[in-house]
Amino acid sequence: MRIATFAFLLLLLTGCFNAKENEVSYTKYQDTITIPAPLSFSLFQYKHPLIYFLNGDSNQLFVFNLDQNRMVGRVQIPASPYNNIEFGGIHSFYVHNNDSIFLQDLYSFSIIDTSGKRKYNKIINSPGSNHWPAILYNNISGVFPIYYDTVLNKLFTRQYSGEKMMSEREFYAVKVEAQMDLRDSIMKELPVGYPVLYNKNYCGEANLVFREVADSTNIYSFMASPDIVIYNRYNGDIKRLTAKSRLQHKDFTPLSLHYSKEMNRKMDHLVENPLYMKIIYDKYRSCYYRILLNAKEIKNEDGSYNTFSDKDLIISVFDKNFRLLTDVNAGSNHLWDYSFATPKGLYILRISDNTHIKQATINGKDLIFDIITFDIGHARM
Amino acid sequence: MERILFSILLLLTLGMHACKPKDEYQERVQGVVKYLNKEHHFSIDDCTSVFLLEANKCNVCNAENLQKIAADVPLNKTVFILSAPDDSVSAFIDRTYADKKIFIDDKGILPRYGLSFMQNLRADICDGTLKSYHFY
Repeated sequence: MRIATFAFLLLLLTGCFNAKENEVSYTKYQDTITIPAPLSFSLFQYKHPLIYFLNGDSNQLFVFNLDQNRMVGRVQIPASPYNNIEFGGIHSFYVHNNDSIFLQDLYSFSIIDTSGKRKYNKIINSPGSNHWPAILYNNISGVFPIYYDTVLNKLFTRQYSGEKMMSEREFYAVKVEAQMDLRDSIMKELPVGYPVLYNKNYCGEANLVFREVADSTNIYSFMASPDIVIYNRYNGDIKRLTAKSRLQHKDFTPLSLHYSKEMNRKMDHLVENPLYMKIIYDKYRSCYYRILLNAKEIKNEDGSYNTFSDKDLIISVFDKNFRLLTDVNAGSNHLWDYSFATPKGLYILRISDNTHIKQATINGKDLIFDIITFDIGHARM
Repeated sequence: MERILFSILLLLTLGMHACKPKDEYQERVQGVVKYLNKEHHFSIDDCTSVFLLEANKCNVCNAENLQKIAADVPLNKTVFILSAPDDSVSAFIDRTYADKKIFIDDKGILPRYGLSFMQNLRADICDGTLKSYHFY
């Protein structure tokens, strides 16, 4: 009996030590990217060691080398044949290589090379029509950029209902992504839909969908839900699992449909609720980062109030099987959207005096990033 | 019988009161008085219409919304608070209102008073007490 008790205690202690070993340490330092002023950008893509910034005013891609900390090129994007209809400009881009830069505007997909020569064009979303088509292909809210898979020769794009409003349940019955085979230019939707939460409730403005691309999978994150969907591009397998932060201290509460036209209430709802934002795949460490903007009370005990920008940003680190390794509360001084994984670690843009956000565009001379490097090597993999 | 009717009437009154939708923003809008007092040393001593214009929010202060504000007759005095400096909004106020005061929230303190909204606000205040408000 005494031996059994001792063995049990030993097991318990070993368990504790193992748990300790599984904790992931991290270091944090800063890097500054000096942007020749004036450059404003809304969309960007990191492809080691280059960052491509889209400047909507001049319709140019500025190419910045992160290792050399200097601008190394620019690509002039030709005007879309449909820009004169309405809503001109590039909504999404993906740089595959110098010969193949994929562009998406409201009415077309194109491929250009670095000289700006257009090599391919496909019309989408019925330009000139009085009504939107049933399914729209567009980078809604700028958080779901196009992606090209070389092996499959397919272009992946966000799709959503062109007929239903976001306050209507039918909007959430439409699958979230489509693929286009470049051999026949036919669009085909992927079998990835919203979590049940969206089909049964009104989630206010917490309706963004994010998609990250890993080696063979597309990973989907939904703002209101800790659940994610993993779709294998090569064999079509789908996995649904929960990737919840330990620091999420409150469940998401749906909003009454009564408030669907009240912007103030919808904004408060975003402040008061936990919001899962994008997932970042770190191919250098075989792990994933999921960003959570944690719930915040509207009113503090001292009588002061909070806004959306006061929400704490949580970075949850998951291993390749989406087992949670650690959570870090990064505070409220970062812009989650401007984050990407590099060999040095996770880059995430700091809010500084030079960072002025206006209409989803950052204008700045110096972009100051925090680089957070997680020591994944000691974690279970 | 009278007593029963009275009881039913009382229950209905109480029930209706309980079902009345909560005025979610009254307390926050009342914060306008405190904000003006603490941040701009300005006291409202007469019946005053305070317009909070969300000049730093995308498309909130467009021409259509400003025209809606101009179409409503203010109380005895008119005060404007701009959430950020904006020349075109200031010019509109100067053109439209002869007698007014304009305050600009240079330091971005308004949100701490709960006064960050997605719409422009009109708050009618008499002697420091909020009488009514609505959003444009």
